[in-house]
Amino acid sequence: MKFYHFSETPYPHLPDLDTVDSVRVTLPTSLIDPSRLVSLWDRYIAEWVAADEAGLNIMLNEHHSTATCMNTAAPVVAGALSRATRDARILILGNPVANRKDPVRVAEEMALLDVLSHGRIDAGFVRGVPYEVSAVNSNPTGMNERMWEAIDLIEAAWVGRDGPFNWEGEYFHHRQVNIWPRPIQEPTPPVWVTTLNPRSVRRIAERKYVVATFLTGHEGARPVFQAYRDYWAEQGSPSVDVDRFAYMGLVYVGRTDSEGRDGARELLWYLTSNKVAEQFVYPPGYVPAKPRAAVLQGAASPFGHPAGDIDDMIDKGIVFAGDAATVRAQIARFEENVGGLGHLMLMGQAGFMDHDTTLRGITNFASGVQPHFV
Amino acid sequence: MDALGNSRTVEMVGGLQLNVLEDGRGDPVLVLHGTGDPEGDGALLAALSEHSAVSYPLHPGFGSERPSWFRRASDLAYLYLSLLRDGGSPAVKVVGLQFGAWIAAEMAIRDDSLISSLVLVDPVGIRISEPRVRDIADMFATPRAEFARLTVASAEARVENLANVSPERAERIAQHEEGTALYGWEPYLHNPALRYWLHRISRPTLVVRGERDGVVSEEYCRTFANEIAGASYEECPEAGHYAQVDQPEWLARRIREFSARP
Repeated sequence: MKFYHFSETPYPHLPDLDTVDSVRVTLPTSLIDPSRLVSLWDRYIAEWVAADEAGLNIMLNEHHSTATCMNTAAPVVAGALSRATRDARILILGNPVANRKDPVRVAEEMALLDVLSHGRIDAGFVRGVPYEVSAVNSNPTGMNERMWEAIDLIEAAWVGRDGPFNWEGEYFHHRQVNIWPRPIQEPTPPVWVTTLNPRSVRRIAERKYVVATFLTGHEGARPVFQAYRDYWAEQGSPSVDVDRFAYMGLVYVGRTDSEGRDGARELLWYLTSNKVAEQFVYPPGYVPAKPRAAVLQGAASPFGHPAGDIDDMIDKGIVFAGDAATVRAQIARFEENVGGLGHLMLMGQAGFMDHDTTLRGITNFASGVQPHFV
Repeated sequence: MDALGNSRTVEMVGGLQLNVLEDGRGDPVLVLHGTGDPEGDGALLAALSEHSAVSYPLHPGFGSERPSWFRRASDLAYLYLSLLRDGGSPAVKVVGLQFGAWIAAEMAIRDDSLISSLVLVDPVGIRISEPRVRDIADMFATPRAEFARLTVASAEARVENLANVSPERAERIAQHEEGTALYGWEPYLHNPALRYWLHRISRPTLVVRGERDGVVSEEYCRTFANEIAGASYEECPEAGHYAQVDQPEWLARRIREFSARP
């Protein structure tokens, strides 16, 4: 199993959440203290470098107009990390391609990163959370179709070898696609796609991409992975390598169980601080009208990750916390519950968790957990 | 809407099944709906159908199927021009409500030969200001209760919280919001070139604005009217952006009177 250190690079120094409507889309940037901003970025980069030195891989993502994530351009940060790290796989999960106007540009960014990192890029593609569409003015209708057209165009751009090709699709138009440089991994950098929904797995499985799911617990992850296996069983290939399956949890390894659980409690900031104004939570067209109407009438949103009791969250496989032996057992149990997986992404920093605490979690994981899952 | 008698399905371009509600007898009136709660149009349609043969198509994408390529305001305009042509009447009154007024204008700049007159109610569809000014209040970035106050003057008639309506009505509202996003997310509820083609409209045109419209300004609606030769502008008293919700009888009367002119 491969492990990836991840932080959403938050700016946690916010006013009382009761005094703001939303930490996404509308939060004024006057709240930013530039010296804090620079220090935070310095330490987040240092933590990814430390993860590389400890033998872990790296995961990045991006969001827009939000204090919960200051990485607005994952390829920029990946460019910095491609030169500051040596061995780590650099996973971008992901590129929000339904919200990017120009997929060929995304293909170029990933290709250049592949060169700069000497072939260490894993290129993930995501549809993006619902509140992103307002931040980037992306139409919430037709997002799946746009995402898949973009992915197909990006892959075609990567593998093209014979000069320009034409792409005049439903959403994207390029008459001379011919990217220089192309990526150096053959045939392409590994491609990952996220989903919460087993019904969305088919297109991921058809292309043999890695399917990833976040914070759903084993009960959410298992049907997603099973849908992938079922697709290939229908095609006459009953065995699917576990390296096609990836999951992200909140993970903290302490020297003791108590220290590990204290660390995990700090990570819950990610769940408790995501205050989003109602008009941005569930834009029209992001899901069909019927389930959207149900949420607008008060049903629970499928995109929320409510924070609960830490024991309950450990039991569900959303949080992995304790000393190294405890976390090893939690991961082994999760692995069994979902029928195997090849990648575990560790949200190992969130909120106010400080640099030293984050580094301890990374090194404790790398020394006490990772070697047992080779 | 429920007051209207019959529903007819018409097969249109690309196998598109257009659902048209119809009621009343008299001169034909085509009413193009807006983005809001479809139940809000019912009283206007009932009042109009006392004197006219009213047709009220459900825009494809507002809860009905459409081909994937069908996603632009111009597609709706050509669809309804085809509906007029196939209907066989040489003179149809076209009433556009808000988003529907945009579509009515897109029809008329292309071909107004089968249109007898136009009534555009709290129209959107054009752009009049410099980039930082919101000509049209952002319905996708405004809390529902606040947007309800911008659109409906009467507190009793507003839908401020979908928890207070039936699941079926909530779903129809969600369908209309989805259709609005489909055609109107970007550019937001307008066609940047439409203003410059409005001069092509040669039929009698009335632009009506609810005097308490919080979505589009008086300047916006007057500009819309001024770009159309001879168009009239009028304010509807005690009405918000959805003037048909606040003042259905007043609006039906004005539509009748205006269209009755030679």
